[in-house]
Amino acid sequence: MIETHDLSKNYRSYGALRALSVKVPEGSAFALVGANGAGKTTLIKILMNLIQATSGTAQVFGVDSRQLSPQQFRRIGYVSENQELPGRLTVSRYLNYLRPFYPDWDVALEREIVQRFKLPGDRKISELSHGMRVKMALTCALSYRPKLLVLDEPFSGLDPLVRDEFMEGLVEQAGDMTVLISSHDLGEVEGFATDIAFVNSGRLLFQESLETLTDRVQQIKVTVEKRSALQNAVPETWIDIHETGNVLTFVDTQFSEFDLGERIRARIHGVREIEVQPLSLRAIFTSIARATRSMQE
Amino acid sequence: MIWHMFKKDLELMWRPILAVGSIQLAFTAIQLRLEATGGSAVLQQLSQVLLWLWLMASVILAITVVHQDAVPSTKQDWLTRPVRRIDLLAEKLLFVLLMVQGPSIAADLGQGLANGFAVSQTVSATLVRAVVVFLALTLPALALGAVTETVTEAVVLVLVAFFCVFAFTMIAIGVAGGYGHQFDPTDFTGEGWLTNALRSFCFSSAPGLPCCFNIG
Repeated sequence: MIETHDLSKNYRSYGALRALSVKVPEGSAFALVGANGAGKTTLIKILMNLIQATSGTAQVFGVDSRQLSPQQFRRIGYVSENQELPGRLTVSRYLNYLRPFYPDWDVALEREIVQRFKLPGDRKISELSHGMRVKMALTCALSYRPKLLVLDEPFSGLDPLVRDEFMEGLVEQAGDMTVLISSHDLGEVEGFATDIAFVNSGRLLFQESLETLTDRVQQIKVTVEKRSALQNAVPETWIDIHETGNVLTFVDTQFSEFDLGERIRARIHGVREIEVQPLSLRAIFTSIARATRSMQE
Repeated sequence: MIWHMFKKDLELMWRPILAVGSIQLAFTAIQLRLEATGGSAVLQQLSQVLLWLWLMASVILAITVVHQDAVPSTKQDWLTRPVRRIDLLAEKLLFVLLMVQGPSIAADLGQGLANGFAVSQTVSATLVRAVVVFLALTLPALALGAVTETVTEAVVLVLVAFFCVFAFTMIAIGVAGGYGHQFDPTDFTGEGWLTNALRSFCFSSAPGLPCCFNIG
């Protein structure tokens, strides 16, 4: 559905994207996560042909993103936090305006979404609150059942209630749609995403299915007989190591239950108890981001 | 889709269109009065003011209509919609022809006929004036609108361009040895039309307009 190869974007000497290769599988709910300024919006703007990459390639529906034509845009829905809709048109007028551009526009679906989001048809778009405007943008993107829905930080500035309404509306209509959603807040995409890619300083740290990731990255809590039981050489896959009293915790980024006890005992003296704890997506992201930052420093 | 987009712009822009049309109407009425009675000096001055006002308002209107679907932006909603750039360009051209130049063409026709000129003469004179205005005013305004996002940006760009031209002219005068020097050897000769035509072509933005809309 979406594929990039060695995609780079430089703003003068600053590299917003650095040889980023990512693949969004068809039918997935793909979360692109990373801190603010990681390069998520730059990547999405290149994919939508809003800006040009410095080097590398990006394909959407198998077409070079620079060559995207109305034929492809009829199948793409795009919602961004700072999208500019024609403020002087009313909600109904803008929906009427967009309708003829899309052969697959579903009027019944449009009405259903408008009703669900309680969008005031007679109000000018400029008079809508930020939350309402984002809902409006989503309505304009969902009403023609796009094959690909691209959401760039759609939740920024939304209160939790509006955010939930937005997600409910989205999940309800998702169907077999491929969704690419960027966010710096993992709590927003957890429970929705099937695949995830972590971007940091313009580089892709990894991408994989959420299931594999949560299986692979686990927190290990080891209770030891006395402090400083950790040997000097620890595997690179152990990150975010903390020692509090007799308890040593770390995140294993290549977790496997096979021989777990033996592997830990080979590195840590006086192990009394080993406890494996699954991590939330937010905790996984924080641990990896922290480890990457300390490696860079 | 061109007509569909046209209707949207008309809905958004009818007030400024009405304002520019009113200026045109007032200007034509004063012109007719002046032609019929000779008029007063005040009326003549008012006519001049209205002419400049109309020129400025027309340029701003042409720029603003392009800004309704700003081209250089990365945030505008239309950029990710199935809108063909060639259709957008055609729509903007049609809009300025009908809504910006339309009232002026109608006024010229009315004025010519009211003054007793033959229909053919009136039509040809009106068309010539319309083409000149289109090349010298409307097209550059469209191009300016296509490379800017706001009227303020457009004004700044025009000021910078004027400053550059002014500075270049002053430097050229200095280098060439004063005001008395003839810059263009074709001036006041039979070949003068060639350079004038070339200048008009360059200043009118016809060749650059498709590029401004990123067509191709």
